Amino acid sequence: MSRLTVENSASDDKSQKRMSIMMKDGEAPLSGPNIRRTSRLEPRPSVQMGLSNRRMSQASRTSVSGTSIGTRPIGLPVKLQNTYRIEPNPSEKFEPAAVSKMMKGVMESYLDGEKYDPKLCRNLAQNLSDVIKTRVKDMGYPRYKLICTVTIGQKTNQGMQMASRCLWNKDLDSFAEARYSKDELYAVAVVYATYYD
Amino acid sequence: MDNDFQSTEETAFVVDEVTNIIKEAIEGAIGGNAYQHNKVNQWTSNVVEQCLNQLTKLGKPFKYIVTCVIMQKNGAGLHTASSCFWDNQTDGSCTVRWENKTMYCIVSVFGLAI
Repeated sequence: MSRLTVENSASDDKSQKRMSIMMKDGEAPLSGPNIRRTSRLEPRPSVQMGLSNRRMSQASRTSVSGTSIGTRPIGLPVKLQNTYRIEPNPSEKFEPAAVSKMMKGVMESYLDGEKYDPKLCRNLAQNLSDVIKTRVKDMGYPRYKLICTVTIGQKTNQGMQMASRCLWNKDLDSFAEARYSKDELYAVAVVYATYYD
Repeated sequence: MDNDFQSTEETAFVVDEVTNIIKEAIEGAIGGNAYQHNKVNQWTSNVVEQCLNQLTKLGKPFKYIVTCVIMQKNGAGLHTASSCFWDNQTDGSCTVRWENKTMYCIVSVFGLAI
């Protein structure tokens, strides 16, 4: 039983295409009565009215499988075309201001009312950095690698200094920073975003 | 795959190598000094600067991010955590914790392969 792929279906003649459709018919019961096929480009309603073995309209199915798009097996590696894009779309460019604002909000919601406790703060630092990283990912900067660091400390009148320096593309890569300080806790979060085409 | 990407010692992020660079930078910048409020700014800058200089000299295809925290010792707690979204195969990080009687110094280097 040969799989229908882009290559062989393109060279197939009409009758062989019909053959493959028949084979699909035979395979159908394996994947349940209602799920006829997994089409990636054109999702068809898989709900079938009436008897489970009956097809709704043979004609329209033929036209779809004739292009061989809908019958591509899921396992087939998809080859993507080059985008020839070496810069982020304007809407996908990392925006430090928006990210800072989000980080500030996250830190306030996590740290407000907390007292310093070594165990708690250790977990908080890890959770916060993970949450912030996930939130930045959700904000949609698809071509950026992200590094998120969170530092939480206890305030006891000690001196503390933080510095960072980067070797990167100054036009595309960037960072966002947010600080939090209340009662006996302070926290600094920094997200670095570096661009990759 | 058609492309034959190199992933040998020469183009990879070698943690031991970077650890040495960081330690040397800290020793060079702070050395045997005790915590001095008006010097800390200078020290942190020197540490990151020195680290980045040496990393650049390795001549590897990486973007680098270097962070440094210096904190006076008086019993206060400090926690730092990081999370990254990157390519596990090629990118790497390295953190060194250094301390003397009067201060802590924590330096992290993140290397992101280009």
